Amino acid sequence: MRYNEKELQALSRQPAELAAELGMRGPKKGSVVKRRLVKLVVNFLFYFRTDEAEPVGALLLERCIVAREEPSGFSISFMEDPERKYYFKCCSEEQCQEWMEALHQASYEFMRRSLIFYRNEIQKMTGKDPLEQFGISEEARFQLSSLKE
Amino acid sequence: MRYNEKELQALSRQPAELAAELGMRGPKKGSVVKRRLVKLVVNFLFYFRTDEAEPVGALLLERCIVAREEPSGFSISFMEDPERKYYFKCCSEEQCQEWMEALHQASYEFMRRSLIFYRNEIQKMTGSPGAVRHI
Repeated sequence: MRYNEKELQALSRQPAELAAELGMRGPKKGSVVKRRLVKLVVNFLFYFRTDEAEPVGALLLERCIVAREEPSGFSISFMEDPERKYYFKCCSEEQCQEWMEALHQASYEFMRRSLIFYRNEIQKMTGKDPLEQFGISEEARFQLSSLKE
Repeated sequence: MRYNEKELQALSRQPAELAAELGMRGPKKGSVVKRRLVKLVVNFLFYFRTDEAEPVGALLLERCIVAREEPSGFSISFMEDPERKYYFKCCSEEQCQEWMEALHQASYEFMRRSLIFYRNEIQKMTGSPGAVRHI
């Protein structure tokens, strides 16, 4: 499948939600742990060799499964193939928790559900659809009315 | 750059925000208009040959520029190279407006700004930080 690779590369240079050097091991049998600069940008996880500007690779984080891997590590796999795991090793319990939480909330779908939740909260509190109440711009109005509840 | 292509293909089979058969022309010089099934899923625009299950390609919609192209059409380009345009031809003015608006709001960044807006609204109303949703 073709895709606009240049834009994905440009995305990898954008400010990250989270970035750190972690140990990383690919899903292939016999793969070894390597140090990688791992960077979370929107719904992508980029990983770089520590001295390079272009990423080695990118993981699209929709429909992903984030699991704890003792000690101080986690794995990412995908609903299409849950046993095929990318492993990450953190340097502390805190770092591991931080990454797992960020990854769990990184998907577009998660963000969309949050948006629906907040809209409903406002509606409950005010008895009104926030789109009417707060003079939200036409564009935001359209976006939210098309969300499936 | 490597990426998890299988998951991108799986995403192309998810329910779409918008899907339609449109005329499509690539950015290369001399490219011709082809009928494509165009499908908007999260922050990706997938395009398929009309009789195939796997997409021909995908456009990641972050940092994209959506512009009107008369008549009844629009183009998508990217901040990295704004003159390199993917052209789309709609069958009506209404369809064109519908797509342009959807594409303009499709990015993750747009959604994140909306989320911040709502959280602030709740904070203003309750005087406390908006309920943080933890699933």
